[in-house]
Amino acid sequence: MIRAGNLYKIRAFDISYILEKIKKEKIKIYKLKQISEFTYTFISPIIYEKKLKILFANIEIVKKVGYLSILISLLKYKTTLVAMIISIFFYISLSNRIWKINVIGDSESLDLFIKNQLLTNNIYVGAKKLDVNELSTIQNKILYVNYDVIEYLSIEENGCAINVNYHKKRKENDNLKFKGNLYAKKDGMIKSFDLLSGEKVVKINDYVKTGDLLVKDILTTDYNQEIYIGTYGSVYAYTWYYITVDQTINNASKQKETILANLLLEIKSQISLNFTENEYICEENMLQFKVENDRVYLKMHFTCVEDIAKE
Amino acid sequence: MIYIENNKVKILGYQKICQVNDKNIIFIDNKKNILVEGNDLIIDYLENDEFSIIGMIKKIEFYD
Repeated sequence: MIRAGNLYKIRAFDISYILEKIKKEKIKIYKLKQISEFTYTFISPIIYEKKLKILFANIEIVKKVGYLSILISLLKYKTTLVAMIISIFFYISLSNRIWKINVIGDSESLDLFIKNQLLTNNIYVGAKKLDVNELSTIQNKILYVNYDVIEYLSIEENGCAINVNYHKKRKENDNLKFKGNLYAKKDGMIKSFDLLSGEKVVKINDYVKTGDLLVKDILTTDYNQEIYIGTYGSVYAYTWYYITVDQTINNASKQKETILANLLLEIKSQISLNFTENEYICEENMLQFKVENDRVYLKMHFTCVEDIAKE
Repeated sequence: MIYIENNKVKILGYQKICQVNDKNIIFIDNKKNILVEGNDLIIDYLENDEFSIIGMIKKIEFYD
């Protein structure tokens, strides 16, 4: 298969004369054939192009043949050559640089800290890429110096990007005060448990009354051994309140809606005065509301979610 | 020398090629005229004093 050649076309009355000349000049040709009465085509390697043009004035190049000839024709033009050299230079120089740094972790405050640590170790956008050993050394160095803040760190190269994964140092839960058995302080229907320690005695949707045992502080094993484990956590249940208000109102000309809104606000704030983070009023139903002259009568039913084990 | 290799006719040491068209190729080898007759004949390769012919060759004749 010819790698770099030209397809020529030549008009000749007598092909033997042309072939004599070709033989004399020791030119190689391929696929010589007659295409019309006095016209012939053949393929010849690119190195004989000049010789053929000198020998035969009427020879024409129909097309280039072979993959190398396309490349050679491109390189004929100075601009192509210059463009190729510049692009190769840019490719080599730019592909040896870092163009992106991804920091992935579980603490926003540590993100910036880690980026600064990378900067002090010459890892930044535009800097030269480092090899695997150098990255490993830097990773170990950052981890060793900041062991009290960072639990896990990995620095990896992925093309022209550096991926940094880290985990913040976890603090142990010390100073936990475990309690004894947990009893219900109010009536309610169990909604959920949030326990770190203890053995449940009731289950979800159980109705409990004040004083009922909710969580035991002793664990009984399969061999009937009793182990003290203590209790720690909360038991959330649905609780209910009936609120009745019967009072005189100061400004009798106020509208009903305003009176009601003010009363509701006051009642709700009273109910939720001692609520903690996970306690809330989940439902409110108005049973009766009446305004007569200067007296207002309101009856409300509230359903709340409360920690019935808290003191 | 003229010999047949696979589907080609190879000629070594020819003197002159007299005629080339798709039905006949005539050349002189060792003072003898040789006619290669067929269809779709092409000189596949030519260098120095050897060349090869491919195509549907019907007959090769030798003339004085």
